[in-house]
Amino acid sequence: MTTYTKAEKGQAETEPQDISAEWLRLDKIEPSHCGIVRLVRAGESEIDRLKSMGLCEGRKIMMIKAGDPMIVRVLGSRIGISARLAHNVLVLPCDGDYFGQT
Amino acid sequence: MALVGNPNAGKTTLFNALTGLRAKTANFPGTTIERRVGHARIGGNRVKILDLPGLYSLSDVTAEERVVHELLIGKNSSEGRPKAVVLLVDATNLERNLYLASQVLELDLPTIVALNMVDMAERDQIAIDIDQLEADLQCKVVPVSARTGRGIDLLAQHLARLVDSGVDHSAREINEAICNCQGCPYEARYDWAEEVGERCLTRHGVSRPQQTDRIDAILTHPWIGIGAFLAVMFAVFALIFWVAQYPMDWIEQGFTIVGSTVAEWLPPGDFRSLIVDGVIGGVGGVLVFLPQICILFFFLALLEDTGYLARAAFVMDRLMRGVGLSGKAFVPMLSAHACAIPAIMATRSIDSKRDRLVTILVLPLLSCSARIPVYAMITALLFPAQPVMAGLLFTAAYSLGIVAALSMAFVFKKTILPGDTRPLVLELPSYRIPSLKTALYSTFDRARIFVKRAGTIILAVSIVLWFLATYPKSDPPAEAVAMLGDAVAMAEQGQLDEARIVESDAERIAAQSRLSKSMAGRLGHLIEPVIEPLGFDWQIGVGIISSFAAREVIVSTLAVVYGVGEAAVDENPGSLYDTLEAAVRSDGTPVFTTATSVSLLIFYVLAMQCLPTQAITRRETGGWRWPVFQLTYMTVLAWTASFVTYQILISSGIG
Repeated sequence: MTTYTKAEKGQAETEPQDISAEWLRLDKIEPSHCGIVRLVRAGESEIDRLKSMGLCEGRKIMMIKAGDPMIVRVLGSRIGISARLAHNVLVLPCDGDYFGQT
Repeated sequence: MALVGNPNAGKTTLFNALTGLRAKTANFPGTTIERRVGHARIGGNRVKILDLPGLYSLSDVTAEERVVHELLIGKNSSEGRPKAVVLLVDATNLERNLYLASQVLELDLPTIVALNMVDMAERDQIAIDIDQLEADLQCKVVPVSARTGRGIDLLAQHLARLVDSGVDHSAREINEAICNCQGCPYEARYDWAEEVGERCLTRHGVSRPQQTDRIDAILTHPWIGIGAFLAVMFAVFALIFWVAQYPMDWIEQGFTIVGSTVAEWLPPGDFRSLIVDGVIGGVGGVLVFLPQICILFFFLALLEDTGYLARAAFVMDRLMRGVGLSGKAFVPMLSAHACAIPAIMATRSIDSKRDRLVTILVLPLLSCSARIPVYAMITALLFPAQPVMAGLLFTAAYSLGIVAALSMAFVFKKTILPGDTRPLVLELPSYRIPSLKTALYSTFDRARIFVKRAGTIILAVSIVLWFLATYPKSDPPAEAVAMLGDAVAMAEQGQLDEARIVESDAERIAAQSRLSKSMAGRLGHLIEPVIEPLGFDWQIGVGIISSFAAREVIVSTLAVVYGVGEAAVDENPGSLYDTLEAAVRSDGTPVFTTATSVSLLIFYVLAMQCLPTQAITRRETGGWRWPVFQLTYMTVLAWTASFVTYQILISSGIG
């Protein structure tokens, strides 16, 4: 598990523009679906706020309530986030539910 | 000793459990960021405890993060580094909390981790391996529940040992594990946090209870959520106005009794007038709002503690963003209908400086309860004995305030404070039963700040206004002197009742003349040319000036300048309205025509006439620039709106 994330992280770091076709923007995730955050696009001053609350590369999220603003579960807590910010978060959708794999 | 932790981790509750009521709220020097300072007796030592603002990280992005970081590393501080740190970690939300924990532990301060809300974790069937956590964090971990008091004694024992020895475990090596990773610093730390979580946590249930999500499905629904929020706030405000009226009556009566008792003690003269009318009357007029402020903060604290306020900000965000305000501005805007002062204090929850400033600037446009007596007076003048019309006029006045506040917020966002509203990122904590104790502590804290203001700045303002209304002194007019002579003669002839009436009439005329020739009266004459186009005469000018102590003062001032006598108003408000209706200008036309009354109403809805609010704006914005701007724009706005209204009404024949 650890080696896997580190390899992935290295990739995201060295080629930040390399956006996989499988990744979805966070605001496109369906309710009760989950995913792993792959890229949080820098440039917005809000990025640090997102990241310090856990919305950062490698973290698993679940959409609790879609819409604008939406509610996302990450690291066991619920975060309310506006669609404008969620648009800058790219997520690799994953199978199973949020708790199934912990 | 410093208390550090995530927002919603129960820091305030733990702080209260450790220190009790001996805490004081103060700002970090040079900022408007609050910290609370308390003392606790720990192991025979008196230990100073700092409750620092809740943080998610020490990344120096926000002002809070910066001041806490600087305090912990002892930079820019005369106090030096804290001797010990209690790092608060929410057991129900371990991984997220460990992020900040890793940063704080790296600072190599003597640290104890208080693992809070262990009772909630048990309820959620989360088992935490404390030994493993201690090994991972290389630091003492004490499971506690600040809410129930469980583990607090044990925490205090460990703290005592830490404070005595000044050292905890060996230098930590977590930093190595984290700093060696290249790339996103957040990712590395969270990887570590999740690994620690995996080692220490066993979740027995299939998932965490979904109760909160179920409640959220309703309360954060785009429409039902807004309806629910309005219902909750309506209930709170109904309570504020309904429950508060009793203590407000007591306070008013209390000040009246104190005033008359002191008046009996002191010899008649200027000093008595200063103490009774200036100090007791002025401070009493503001302190009467204390019950409303206490009830408001009590319910806000309760709602916050349940986790509901975060949902309120969440559902209102979309609507408020339309006018350039944050969702978190809504609660202050509602509170401003009780009083702008607590509302401005409540804007501290808005994390963007610009959004907060815009909110502070527009808050005094909302109709606070000090305006109610003024609205009531004007309503009585315009629609005597027509309750439906009176109700409509009240509604119109409140609506005007709301529309003006939202419009001005929009204008400010487009002009002097441009920029997008900060997009919402907000933690929605799990719902929980609120702690009555925490709510009471927080109410007490706010009340203390308010009373302190009343005792300092508001007191000073009252004294200044008293001077303006009293000096320079002038001789009573000949008419009044003659009447007094008549009264004495009547009394000698045994006509006591008649003598008393003539005497009080004479006093009334003398008071009217005194005020007219005082500085306040002269100021009224001075501003008359400016307010004449609004349909106001110099007497109303005096009322407007005196309103700066508190708006409702205009009612008693008008009573004096139009010669009713204050006592008469207290006994029978109708007598004031009759007199005002009968009041005439020098040319014999009535003063309070429909046009003048409407114009005055609009002026009072929009004008910034409250020095206490200005003082709070100054404190919260850290300088005179914004309060001066606030005063200027609101005065210009009020003048223009009143001018336009008055001129339209006059030219359309409604005199």
